[in-house]
Amino acid sequence: MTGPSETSGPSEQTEPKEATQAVLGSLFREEWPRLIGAALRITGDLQAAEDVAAETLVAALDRWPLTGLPDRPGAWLMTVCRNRALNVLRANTRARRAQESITAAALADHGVMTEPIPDDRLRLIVLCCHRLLSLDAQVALTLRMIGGLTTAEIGRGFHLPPATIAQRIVRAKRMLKEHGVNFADDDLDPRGRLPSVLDVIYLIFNEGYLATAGDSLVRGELAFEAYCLACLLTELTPAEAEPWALRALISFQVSRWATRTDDDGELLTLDVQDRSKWNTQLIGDGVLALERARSGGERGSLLLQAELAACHATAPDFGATDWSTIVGLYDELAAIQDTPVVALNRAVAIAMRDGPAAGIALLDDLTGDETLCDSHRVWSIRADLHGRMGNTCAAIADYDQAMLRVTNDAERRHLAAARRRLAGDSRERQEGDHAAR
Amino acid sequence: MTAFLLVGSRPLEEPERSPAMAARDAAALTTWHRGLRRWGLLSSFAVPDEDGHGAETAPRLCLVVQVSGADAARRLAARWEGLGGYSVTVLALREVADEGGCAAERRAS
Repeated sequence: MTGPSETSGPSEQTEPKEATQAVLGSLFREEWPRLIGAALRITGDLQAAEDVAAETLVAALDRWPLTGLPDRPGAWLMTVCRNRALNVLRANTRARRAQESITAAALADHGVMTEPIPDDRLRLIVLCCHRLLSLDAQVALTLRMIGGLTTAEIGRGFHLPPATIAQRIVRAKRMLKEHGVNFADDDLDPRGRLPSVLDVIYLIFNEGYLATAGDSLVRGELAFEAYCLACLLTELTPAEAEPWALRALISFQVSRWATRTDDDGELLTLDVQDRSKWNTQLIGDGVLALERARSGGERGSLLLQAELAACHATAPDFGATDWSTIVGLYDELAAIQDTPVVALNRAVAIAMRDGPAAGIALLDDLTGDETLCDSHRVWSIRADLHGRMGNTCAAIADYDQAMLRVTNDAERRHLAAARRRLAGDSRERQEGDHAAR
Repeated sequence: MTAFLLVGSRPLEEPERSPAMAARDAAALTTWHRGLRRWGLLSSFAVPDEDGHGAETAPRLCLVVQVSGADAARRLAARWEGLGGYSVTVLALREVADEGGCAAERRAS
C-alpha cells in the first residue's frame, strides 16, 4: 500500500457530483469493453478477463476520489488492467507448474507490455455474438461484456430473475471455452460476422422499445443500451452501411421516447404525441446516420426500416406524414422481406393513404395467418379501422380478440380504454336515437 | 481534536458492479473526500499499489482523520461504508512519547 503521508491531494475540484458522475460514467462505460478485450487477449479466458476489468474499476474507485483523475484516465485503466491480467496469467501458469511457463521476462520479451494496444472491441462484440451461442445467450453476454450491465440490470430488462441471466452468461462462457474459441485468432476479419451482431442489437432494441410483457411499455435501459451499441458499431466499422442503418433506425425511434407514454404510463399513439418534445438531437443523429447508410448503395431491410422511421420522425405533424412514400417503402421492404408483420404495417400505411376500407380488405387476409394469429396487433389495428368507418360492433369484437392476445399491460389498458370509448359512443348514439323516436 | 485511523477493506467477493455503478460510487466518494478536506478533517491517506499487489486482501484504503471523538469517527466510518462498499474499521491514534511516534490502539470497529 502506498500513498502520500499528508493531505496533499489533487487540486480542489469544484464540479458538482452529477458532473463527476457523468464524466466517469462515460469514461468507464467506454473503457469497459476495451479493458475486457485487453485482459482477454492476455488471459485467454472470458471469466478471468471480466474479473480483471471489474477489479480495474474498483482500483480506480479506491484511488481516484482521493488522488484525483490521472492525466490520461483511459491509459491508467488500461495499464492497471493489463498488469493485473499478467498477474492472473502468472498465477495460473505457476498453478499449472508448467515447464514452459511464461515468465515475466518472457512476457516482456513477447511484447505484451510494450506493443500498442489493439482495439479489440469489435472482436469482443463478435465473440459475444458467436454462432455457437443461442440468441438469448448472445444478448446476455453482449449486454454484460460490451454494455457492462450487471446481471440484475439485464434481468430487469427482460423480466427474468438475475440467476437466469447469470446462468446464461456462465453457460455461454463455458461453451466458448469448451469449443476452444480463441479470442485473438478466431477470426481475422470479424466484419464477416456483422449480421449476427446486428441481429443481437436489433433484438435488444426491440425488447427495450416495445416490451413484449410486463407492466411497462418501454424499457429505457435496454433501448438506450441498443443505441449505444449501434453507435459503437458504427465507430468500429465506419465503412459498413448496415450498422449506420441500424443506428439511424434506433435514433429515430428513441427520439420519440419521452412522448410514447403519458404521465400515467399509458400508451400514446403517433397521432397524439407532442412532437415538440421529440429529441431533435437524436433525429439529427438519425438523419446523418441515414445518409451514411444510403451511401452504401444496397437497400437492405435495415435501411428501409430506417427510411420508414425517418418519414415519421421528420414529419412536422401527423397530418403531414407522407403516406405515399411510406407505402412505397413497404412495397420495397415486402419484396425483400415478405413477412406477415411487413404486410400488416403495409396495410396500415395503405389505410392511412387510401382510407380504412382499403386497409381492412388487406387485414382480413392476415387474421388467419399462423404467425400473427397469437398477436393482438392485427386485431387492434382492424378494430381501429372499423371504428373509423363507424362499424362499432365489428370494432368492439376485434378489440375483444386483441385483448385476449395482448401480453403488455400498458397496451392492454390502451385497448380497453379504446373499447370503452367506442362502446360509450355507441350507447350514447342509441340513447339519442331512442330519445328522438 | 483526536486522530483516528479509518481502515477501509473490501469483501473478498466483490458484488457485481456496472461501469455506471462504479461511476456513481466514485462520484459520491469524491464528494465525500472533498468534504473531509474542506472541513479540515482529513490529515493523510494511503491508497493501494496501482498494480494491485496485495490489494485482494484487506485493507484497501487508510484515512487519518482529526475529529472531536470516537463517536464522530464512527459516524464518518458509517458514512464511508455507505458510499463505496467498504467495511471500515476505526482505530484511535494516540501519541506515544517514549517511542517518538504514533501507535494505534484499537477502540472500536
